[in-house]
Amino acid sequence: MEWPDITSILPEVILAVAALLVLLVEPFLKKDKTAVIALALIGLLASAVVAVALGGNSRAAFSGTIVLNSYALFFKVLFALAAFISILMSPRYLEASKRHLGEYYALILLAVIGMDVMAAARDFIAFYVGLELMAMCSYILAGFFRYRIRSNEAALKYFVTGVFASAFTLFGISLVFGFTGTTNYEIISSNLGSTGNATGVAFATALVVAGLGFKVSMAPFHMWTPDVYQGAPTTVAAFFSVGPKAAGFSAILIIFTTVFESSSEFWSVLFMVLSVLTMFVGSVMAIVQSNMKRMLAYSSITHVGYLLAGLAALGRGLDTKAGESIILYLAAYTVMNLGAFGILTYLKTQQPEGFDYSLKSFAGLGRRSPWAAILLTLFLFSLTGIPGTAGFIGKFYLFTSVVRGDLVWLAVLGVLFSAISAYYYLRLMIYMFFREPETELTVKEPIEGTLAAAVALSAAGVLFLGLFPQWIWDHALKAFSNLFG
Amino acid sequence: MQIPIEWYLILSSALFIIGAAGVLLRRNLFIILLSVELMMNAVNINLVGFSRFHETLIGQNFVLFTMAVAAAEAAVGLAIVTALYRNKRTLMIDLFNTMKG
Repeated sequence: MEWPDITSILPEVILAVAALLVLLVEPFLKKDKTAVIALALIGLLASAVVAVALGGNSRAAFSGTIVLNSYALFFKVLFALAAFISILMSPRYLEASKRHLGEYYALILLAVIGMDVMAAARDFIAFYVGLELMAMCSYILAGFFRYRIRSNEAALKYFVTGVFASAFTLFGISLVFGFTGTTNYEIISSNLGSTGNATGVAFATALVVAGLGFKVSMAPFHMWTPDVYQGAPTTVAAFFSVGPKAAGFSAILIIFTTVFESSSEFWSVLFMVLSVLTMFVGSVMAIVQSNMKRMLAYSSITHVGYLLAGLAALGRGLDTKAGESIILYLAAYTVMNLGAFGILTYLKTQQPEGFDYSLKSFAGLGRRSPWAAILLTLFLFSLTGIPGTAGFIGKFYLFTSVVRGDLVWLAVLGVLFSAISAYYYLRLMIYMFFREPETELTVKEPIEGTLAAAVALSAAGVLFLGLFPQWIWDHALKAFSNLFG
Repeated sequence: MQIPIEWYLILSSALFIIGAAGVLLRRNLFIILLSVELMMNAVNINLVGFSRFHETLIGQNFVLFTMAVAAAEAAVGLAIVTALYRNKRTLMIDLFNTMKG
């Protein structure tokens, strides 16, 4: 039976309707925003459910520009989960910051549509529109506290670097179009190899890498990351640290395995160099940070470095195992990083003025709020890669695939940088459990409400992926093997 | 007379480099926004030129999308600049340095 094209974008249509409803309902609400939050959460849930229900077999729609297959499905569910947890974290935080507006939820939903399109696009036009939709919502979200100079500054830095980067991507895309005369990934991939212009193709590859590198914050295009994470609202930073990164990698995986298949030797070497650089910059800079939001920003850069090592392995012979482990790592990274940001959000809601995310303000947390300290420890263990947590499983598969790609030295470097990362994660734990606070910071209430749900969801994800990796591995396998289907 | 494709490429590359240099070197926010627009338009010239070269309409189609996106981008950018100007009363980006490390 022939399905109408609209079924393939039904998850996005649901999200768009939910976002518009949020905007429509918001003006009629006074103080209580429960209806808007519920609408946003239901929209995300419905879009994930519909995606799962439709994703059984792959459908191409709109003349092959969009597909709905298990690859797109995996990422749609992942993005919906990331947005779901971020939204659960937000209400208390926004109230404590005295800026609780419904637009916030609508913007997150619209950003998720952009990410969904990036993962589902098989054509550069659709990809570009998805990328920009995601980016535009991110710029506004970064500047959401528009009366605070830091939030403004974060938005400005994100905007200028982001627009600059997407111009580079676009220039690369226009060159690819020039070589092949089409924007469809598959047709480009069969034409691009036979152009006989290896230098030109390599140049276009480098331009696209530079542009997408900004979005996933790989060094040397990472400069905006710490400033934006520090200045943006914490819940938004939580969303940025996982959503756009996963979306960027979903697009990188498709584009580099189809469009630039012919120059895979070139981009494999490129990613190798960038991976080492990114891991180095992330680790070294994370050590010297005293602000924990900035530390998490640099740690997220280090994680991008590990993922780039996986991409380098993928480029050597297009080994599917490498692609699967990248997808799996993205899932693990999403839950653990969101959890860590969730705890920071909780601490900020308890002390809107006093808590400044500095290392010192974590001193004595183990006594003041044992649950928050224990959960944060779990997430930091996972980020370090201690066995039994999602982070370990992610790193295990990722570095195994790097070794399989004959890049033993790169895997060794990755493990070394993980060991360094243990220093800056464990230092925070020492402050929490073994240091006396200089000023007495009190915790008013335990973790409760939707924030508790968000943190619990992340913790459950971390433990589930860590203890039963088979499930996620099967799904990652299915996703990546159906990349082209 | 058909204009050779190289001419389009030279023009667009020059525009793109001027735009990129403007973003990196100029310190006034508005000039930076204009420079970004210059880069986008360099891409548009590329796309239209290649579209004519390949005798397909895909490139022209793409340009419509990039122009719409550029318009939206300008709107968001100006909104951010306005919010910033209200708080800081300057548009020189060297002065936006409250975060370091």
